[in-house]
Amino acid sequence: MKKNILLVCGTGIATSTVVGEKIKEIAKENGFDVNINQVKVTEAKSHIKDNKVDLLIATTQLPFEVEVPYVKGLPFISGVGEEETIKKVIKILED
Amino acid sequence: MQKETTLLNVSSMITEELILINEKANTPKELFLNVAEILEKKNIVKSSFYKAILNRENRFPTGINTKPINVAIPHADPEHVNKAALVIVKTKNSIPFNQMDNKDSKVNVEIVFFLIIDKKEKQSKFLSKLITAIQNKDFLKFIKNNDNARKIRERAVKELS
Repeated sequence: MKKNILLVCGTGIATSTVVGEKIKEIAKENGFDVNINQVKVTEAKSHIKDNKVDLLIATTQLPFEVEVPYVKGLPFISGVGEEETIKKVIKILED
Repeated sequence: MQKETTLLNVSSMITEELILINEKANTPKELFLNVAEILEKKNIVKSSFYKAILNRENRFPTGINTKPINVAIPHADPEHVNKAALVIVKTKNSIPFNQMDNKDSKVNVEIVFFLIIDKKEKQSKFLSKLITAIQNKDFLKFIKNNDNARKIRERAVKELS
């Protein structure tokens, strides 16, 4: 079944694009069928309300409580803790 | 063919004039003011750029802990930009930036990469390269230990092509 992944950053452009590339790679390597959306943090809440989200990855601080599976995306940008984050992503997508 | 296009693009985005060495600003705001002035004079950005990049940094900080040399990657929406570019700033003193995923925590930044993006699709590949580059500790060390803009430019073009 296709998994819906929502990427959130300040503008919906820069860091979420980078994380998107990495998620595509992870999905390909692990055989996950994913549908990726990128939004600005200001649009995230309404997107979650209106759409099914199986995994949310944010590179910025979220100004609201997250009620969907959520992973911090900064390790994909800094490289610090990236391996662990990849493991978390895989675990959520396997569920 | 594809590769040549990317290379050409990156090479034109990074110029020696946009590599600022031992920049004296002590706060992100001061730094943004200095950089915006330079970019505006060169017509790379619109007059709305300074406010846009400052507001964005306040709301969504871009300091990244890439220890031991920390970086920041400020950027604004493409509507404030005329021409794509990359500004590389090596600071004289480290500048405290708020951390990207935690506004309440500071990170002392020594190298700042301003992403001057005009179209998100065109730049996505470049962004990935930049992120890969900031994870490369040798690259950051090279910038930190080098005061020659030409050499930093050469290395940056190589790293990002």
